[in-house]
Amino acid sequence: MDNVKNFLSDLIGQNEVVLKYSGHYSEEIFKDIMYKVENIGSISNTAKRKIFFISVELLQNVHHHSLKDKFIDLPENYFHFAITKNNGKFFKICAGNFVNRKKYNTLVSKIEQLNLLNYDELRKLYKTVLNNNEYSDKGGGGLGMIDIKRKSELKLEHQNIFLNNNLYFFNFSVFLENKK
Amino acid sequence: MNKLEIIGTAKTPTVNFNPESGILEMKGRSIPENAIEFFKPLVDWLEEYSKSAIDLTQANIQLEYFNTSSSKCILDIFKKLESINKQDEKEVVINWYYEEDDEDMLEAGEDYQSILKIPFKMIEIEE
Repeated sequence: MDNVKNFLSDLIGQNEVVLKYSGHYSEEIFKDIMYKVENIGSISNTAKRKIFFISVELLQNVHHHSLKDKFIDLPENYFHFAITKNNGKFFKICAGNFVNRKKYNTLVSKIEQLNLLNYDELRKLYKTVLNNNEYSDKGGGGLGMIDIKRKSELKLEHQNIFLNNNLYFFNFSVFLENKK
Repeated sequence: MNKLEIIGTAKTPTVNFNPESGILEMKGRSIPENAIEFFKPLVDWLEEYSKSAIDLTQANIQLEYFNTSSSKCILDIFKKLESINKQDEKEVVINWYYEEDDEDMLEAGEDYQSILKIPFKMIEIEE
């Protein structure tokens, strides 16, 4: 699993690290990350609010959808999360976790669909899903990725490590312009 | 009917629903992983309140963040208020507060406003 362990470093590259974590996911870790996000210095309130929102959605997606098993030498319920500043112009927020093939296909398909929509189309879709009275058994409403794309306004990306026929490590990358 | 008072936490908002004054306040952040659990008592309270609502009900909503798990639950709250507003001689106003540079929160309020048939006031506040 060295490729999974090194994945976050590869994704960060030479960019400035604002925050990073990899290991076991828990409620305490979630709270700790969100506390650190709230206390990121030297950025606009607008950027901080958007980073906070996107981070909450990404981490809660990890909690709801990742495979909780222990894979070889990694802790169980393993995930990674990072916020980087790329060339001072963009923030990149990424979160990765283990998924099975079905979940992988669903995520990739959803990202591809959302990337085709402009801002107005996303807003219309958001309102349609908001008002459809459907909840998942985990309390989700199918709005998370739509609203992440809406807040980011930039293309969503994913990077993956194929481990076997039914196991992937899936990383979701969200970019945000560093507006003043 | 009793007041509904919930103290806010790092993940859930402060709630003060007062059946005598008709003032329903929700303030803070709403980012629970499963929002249905948090909002169900609020929806149940409103269901009861709707049977004896006072003439003017004012909902003051001042959220700094809410996650998408909360989004639909907030709409459920507003739909309950909409049903009260439809009753004869009952009026409900939703006051949606947002910080002056928080365009996302303003848009979120506008999204609810476009779905609901109920008086909805957008109120900008200084940070």
